[in-house]
Amino acid sequence: MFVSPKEKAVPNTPDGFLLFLNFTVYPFVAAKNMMPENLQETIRCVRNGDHAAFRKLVTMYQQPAYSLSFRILGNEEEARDAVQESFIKIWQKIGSYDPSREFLPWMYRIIVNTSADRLRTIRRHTMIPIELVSQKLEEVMQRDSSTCADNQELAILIKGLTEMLPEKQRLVFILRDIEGMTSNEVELITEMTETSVKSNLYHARKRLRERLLRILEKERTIK
Amino acid sequence: MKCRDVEEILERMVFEEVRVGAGLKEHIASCPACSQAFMDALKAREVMGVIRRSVPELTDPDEITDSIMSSIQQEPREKTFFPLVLQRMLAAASVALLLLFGYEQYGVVNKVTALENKFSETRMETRYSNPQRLASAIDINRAGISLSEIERFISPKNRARLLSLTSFKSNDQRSIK
Repeated sequence: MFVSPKEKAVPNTPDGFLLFLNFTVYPFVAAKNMMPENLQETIRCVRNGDHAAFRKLVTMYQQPAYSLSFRILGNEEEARDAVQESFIKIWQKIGSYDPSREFLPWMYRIIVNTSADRLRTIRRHTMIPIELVSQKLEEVMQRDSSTCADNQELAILIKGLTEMLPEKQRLVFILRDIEGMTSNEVELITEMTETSVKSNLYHARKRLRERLLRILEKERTIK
Repeated sequence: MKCRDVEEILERMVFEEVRVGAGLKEHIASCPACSQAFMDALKAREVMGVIRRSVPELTDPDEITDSIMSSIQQEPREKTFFPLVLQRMLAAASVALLLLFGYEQYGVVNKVTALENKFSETRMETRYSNPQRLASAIDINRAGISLSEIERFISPKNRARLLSLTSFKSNDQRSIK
């Protein structure tokens, strides 16, 4: 079971202090907690063609699905379409789902693949200028420390930061560092090997850090 | 602590939780470049925090649910011809059959190969024990068989007879010796 860094009880030592990551709950962990005890029963009904059970499933998971899709695509409209397409695929393919395995990684795999397919078509003709990212970042950071960005700001930040990453690096980074999945879960969803996940995450973090520092430097020079 | 060690910690600090020890604090206090890098890393970390905290909200969940539900009414489902349990049973049966017949097949192939070898040896013996036939250089050339190979199958008596044959002598006497 995943434990978010905030839940880890690590005592401070006299010679130093811990820097906790300042976020509340990882989206994937939240989606897991939403899982009702009778999920398997709901899935069984969906497999038998029960529309009411499928509506229940959609209602329950469309928000986390949208959140994930939005973070991959960085676009509200595209994310909405990807969610719809994903759930239609889930309905069509539920017969091939193996009930002895976890449902969430199976469902997330469909969402990730659908979003990645869309990403390939939209990323060819959209680029966010670094100045715009820097400006949005400043606006968001000027608010209080526990602030959240709205959908539009978030879209610019995510796109501005991750658009230069190759597809695999982008997916691994979003699933691991933003959605809060374990490496094992990322492997299951992306069907990559452990080494590949590690390597893609390493390169994604390196490039993203460089990009972030460049944006912050830009912000300083504007000031 | 050296600048390189600090850089390594700051790299991790953006994405992970790290322990800022006394050594790091002392170095940052005394090194302006690392101090600036530390401030930048803290800010980058804050940006990551904002991105993580900001969960994009669906503005019209009911509308999307309805749209999905109306779409699936028209969408045909992918039908699996066999149910999952039957699929697994079939897979297991296929593997069992493959193993069984694979083993049988292996035995048959082995026997056939052995028979073929034996047959081939017998044929060679029969064919080349007759020096009259061997004598024909054309025949040997056509068969593509070396003379040393032929020597294995003929008796010393036949070998002498073979050498006495003029057609063979004239063509390849030296090599058979």
